[in-house]
Amino acid sequence: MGKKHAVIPYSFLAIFVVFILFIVVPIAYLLTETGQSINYFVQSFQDSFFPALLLRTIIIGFTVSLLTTIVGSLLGFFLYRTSIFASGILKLLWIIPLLLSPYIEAVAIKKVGILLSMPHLFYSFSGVVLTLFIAYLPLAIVITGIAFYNTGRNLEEAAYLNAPKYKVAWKITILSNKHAIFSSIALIFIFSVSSFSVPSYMGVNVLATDIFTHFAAFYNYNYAVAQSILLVFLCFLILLGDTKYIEKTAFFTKSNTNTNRFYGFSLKNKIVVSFVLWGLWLILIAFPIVTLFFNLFNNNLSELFTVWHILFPAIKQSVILALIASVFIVVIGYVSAFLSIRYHFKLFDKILLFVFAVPSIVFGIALIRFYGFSWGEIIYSSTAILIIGYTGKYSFIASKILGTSMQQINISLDEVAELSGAKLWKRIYYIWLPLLSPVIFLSFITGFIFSFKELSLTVMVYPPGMNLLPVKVYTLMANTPRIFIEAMLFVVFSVTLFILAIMWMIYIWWLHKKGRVYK
Amino acid sequence: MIEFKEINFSYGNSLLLNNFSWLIPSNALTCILGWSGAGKSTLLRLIAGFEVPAKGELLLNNQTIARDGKNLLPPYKRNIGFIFQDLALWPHMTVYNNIAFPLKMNKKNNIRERVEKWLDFFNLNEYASRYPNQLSGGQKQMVAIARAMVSEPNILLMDEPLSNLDISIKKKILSYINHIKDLLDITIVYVTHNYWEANRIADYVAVMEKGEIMLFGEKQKVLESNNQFIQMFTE
Amino acid sequence: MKKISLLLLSIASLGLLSACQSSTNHKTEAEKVVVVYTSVDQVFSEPVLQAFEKKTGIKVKAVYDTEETKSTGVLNRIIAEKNHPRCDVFWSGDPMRTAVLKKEGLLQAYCSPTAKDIPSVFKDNKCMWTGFSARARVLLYNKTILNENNIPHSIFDLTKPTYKGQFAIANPLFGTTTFHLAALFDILGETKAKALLDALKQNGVVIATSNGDVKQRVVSGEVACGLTDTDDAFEAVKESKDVSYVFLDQGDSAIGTLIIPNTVCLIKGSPHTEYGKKLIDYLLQCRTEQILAKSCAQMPLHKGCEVPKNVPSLDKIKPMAIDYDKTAKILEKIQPYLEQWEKSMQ
Repeated sequence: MGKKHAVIPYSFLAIFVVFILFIVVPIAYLLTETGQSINYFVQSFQDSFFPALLLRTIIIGFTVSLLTTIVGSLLGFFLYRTSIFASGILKLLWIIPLLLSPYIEAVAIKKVGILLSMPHLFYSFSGVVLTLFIAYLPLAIVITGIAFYNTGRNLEEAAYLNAPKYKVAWKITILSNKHAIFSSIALIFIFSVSSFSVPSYMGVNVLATDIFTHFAAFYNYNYAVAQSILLVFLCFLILLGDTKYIEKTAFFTKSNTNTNRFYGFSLKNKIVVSFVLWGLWLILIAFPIVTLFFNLFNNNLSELFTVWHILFPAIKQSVILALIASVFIVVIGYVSAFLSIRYHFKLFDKILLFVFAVPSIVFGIALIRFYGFSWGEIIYSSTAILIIGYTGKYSFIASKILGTSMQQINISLDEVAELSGAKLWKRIYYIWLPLLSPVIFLSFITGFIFSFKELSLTVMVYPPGMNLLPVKVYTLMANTPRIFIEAMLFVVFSVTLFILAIMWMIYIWWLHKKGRVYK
Repeated sequence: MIEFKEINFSYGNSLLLNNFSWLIPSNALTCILGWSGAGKSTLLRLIAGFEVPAKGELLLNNQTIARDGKNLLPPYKRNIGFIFQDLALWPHMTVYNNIAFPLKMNKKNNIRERVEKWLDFFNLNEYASRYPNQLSGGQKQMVAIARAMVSEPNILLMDEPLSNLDISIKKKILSYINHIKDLLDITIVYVTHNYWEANRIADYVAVMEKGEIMLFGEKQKVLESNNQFIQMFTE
Repeated sequence: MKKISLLLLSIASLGLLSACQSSTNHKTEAEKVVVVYTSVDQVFSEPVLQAFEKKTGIKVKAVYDTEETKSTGVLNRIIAEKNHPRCDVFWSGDPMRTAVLKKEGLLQAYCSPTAKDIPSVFKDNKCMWTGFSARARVLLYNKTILNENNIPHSIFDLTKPTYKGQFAIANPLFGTTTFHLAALFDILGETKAKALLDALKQNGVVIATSNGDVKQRVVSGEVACGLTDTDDAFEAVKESKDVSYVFLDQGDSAIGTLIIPNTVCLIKGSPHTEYGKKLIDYLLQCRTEQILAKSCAQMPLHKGCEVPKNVPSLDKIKPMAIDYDKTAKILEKIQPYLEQWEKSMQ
């Protein structure tokens, strides 16, 4: 699978080099500028609270990633491989937490906690875990669900000759997609340990909040950068496991036979399962959101028009910026995944992970320090710096999503095209893009959502005078009445949903034009 | 004995089998010869229980297993071995585990012994801990057959199993199939469009076209006839 | 293939287009622009800046900070930009951040003529920064939990068992809270200040994430009272009839209440120095203080500057007698101790 000794296409190499120059070099510059040495690491471990802090971070990472992936895999299986009631709608509804910043999820959980008189639900370790669990559950559902959906039909049929469907579902459908499950664990672990806003809001000290404190309170850049390296190292350890696993069990799971036939697992207790899935959604997703917007709904949405008028200029700018960034994110993610799968060139993937794991504030400072000179003016004083920031930060996710799907496509499809005389970009256009169109779309909207709601990096580097939505909302949140805050969050949520709906319709129209059907 | 009684079956809007009736003899190897789209693989899928006849009845040893849109006996209870065209070896399981899977699912005893018997049969012992992607085409084929045979099925279905192999490997695999046929009382249905394969292993040959059996009988009689349908495969 | 080329060209063009957009700081001094970074809440600072823009015709390009980043994003940005400053004026909500910039050597002196009658205690003696529109530290309390007779009147009251686990302060490592604690170290001395903090810890002080969070917790009744700033208290009172606030330590021999002025300063090497000075002059007027008094109950430092009745007056508050520069230095010294104190509560 893939060509180990093949020459990497120059165009892809060029993209890799451009990425290094624009995004990695600034971070490397910061590291050299702050003069890293072993002393700062030693300093960390001399702090009596540091081991507990590190342990807490790791426990949060593992707890959230394992819990989310276990539940997400089960939900992914039922949503993508069985015919529960209104599964199509429910699949979309489960994506809702992705539209909200984890910080907002934390605010919602707190409100639920107050309502239920359960203070241990928030301002605690369990509050952090619960919030991150809800925030990242959609990721686990989508990553595993799509993998389950793409499982070769013949593999399941071969097992069905010897075992009932529920055993086939577990032994074949789920277990043959361990790579997707592990990818989900790895990605969510990285998100969880890098999360700053949720632990900060819940008052729990973790590595990310400590890094922030050293930067923002003590201006101790050296110490903070040393701790950032530790955080990146943690993430790399997980990725190492992920990579080793994929290398060991390299495989195809996508069948070459006609997959237009839907092969769903029929459920004996369809009503019960549907009830449970819908019930879970109502409790975990709908209830906190309704609680969050409760006052607003109670006031007949009267604040909405005022808020819309205030936020509209920021919405416009942020949407355009996020759309542009998403294009770059998908291109970089695609190139990285393609180089990794097709040419076994995994360095790009590792570099994307490195940049992803660097805390936003550190990344922001790196960009300012590097582009802050007069030669960098054209980038520094324009939206280009934001595009560079978002691309650097989120290309890793696109690479992961695309890579998981690419692995499931038979390489011979590309090889045959190559033999037929098609050059690289033609093969990408005629072979890979059509095969990967659903996940490219998914990567695009994921890139859009993350870029649209990114705050920490934006506030560090946004050009003066620019009106951007996350900054506008969060600066206004500091001192406005609760109802106004709820109205703002509702507007942001609705706008995101609206944009995604438009993208979705464009995608369906495009599929239709190409004579394909949405599945 | 496998019997099709007045079976109707469609894919989407196209009617593939129309009032189809046929009896496949027991304890013999029946080869179904036909070009693509004739309906050969569909017959196998109906026997296995992956498809259900919209109308008509399907019997296995005089027991009705499917009738009028319903599977009365699920696939895993039919004691059938199936070799798919793309082999369908589970990529996340080793050779050993692929072969052992049917025994584990049916909670059989002496799993190790039974798996090793088939590994010995195909000389695959040293490959037991490898994964399918680490095997050659011929080796994968043998693992697929071993997996199908390990639970001692009454019926073995083979859907163009040798289409991707070179002639020397084909000969080797066909000799194994003949050996299995001689050793065991088993009904084998072998689908192919290759006259030469049919000639080497079949006891009975059926020629199928557009959802109908055009010609059926003992191998010699069918393959040596001047019938236009058999002539298509000899040209 | 043509379509791919078109697509790539579009992407590249978009990239270039965005790069050319809103480029500000390479423009010459002749361009009427001033760049201001502010840690003061946008809802209060933006109207003032818009009024300046309208009056003078000088375009204001502002960078605001957020509660989530503890209002330190802009400060880190100014420090990171030191080799090639983009900011002309830094408007801070407290003198602490300005002290950091002064220590880094990033400020240039400017004695604004409009600040003549601002008391010298609120100005840097070398004109590196000037204070205006002050907040004060107050105790916000929930009237449904605490009645008139058991409202604390001193910070030392918070060590009493009556208030165990019932009072909150914001994260002691950030913002006005850290400055408040540094001021206590200044006025009480290290031994007494540490004893006070230990006593607060023993009495179950609740650490909130921010002053806004303290406000929310008191309003919702999660805690009976909490230390916050006058602007948060003012908003809380507007939002809920169940809360009120009190200035602590107002007795004759008491230590007084910490007064925290906004500060404004000129960045060294800024690209639009002259316009920066004009903005500073504008911010330091009584008129600006009146706007801020009305919007967020900030107390004017200009003598005789008229404000609405519901805004407290500095004349009626006993201030904590501290030197802001000295307190900023003490803050730097006690940070490791505060870090350990905060972590020990986890």
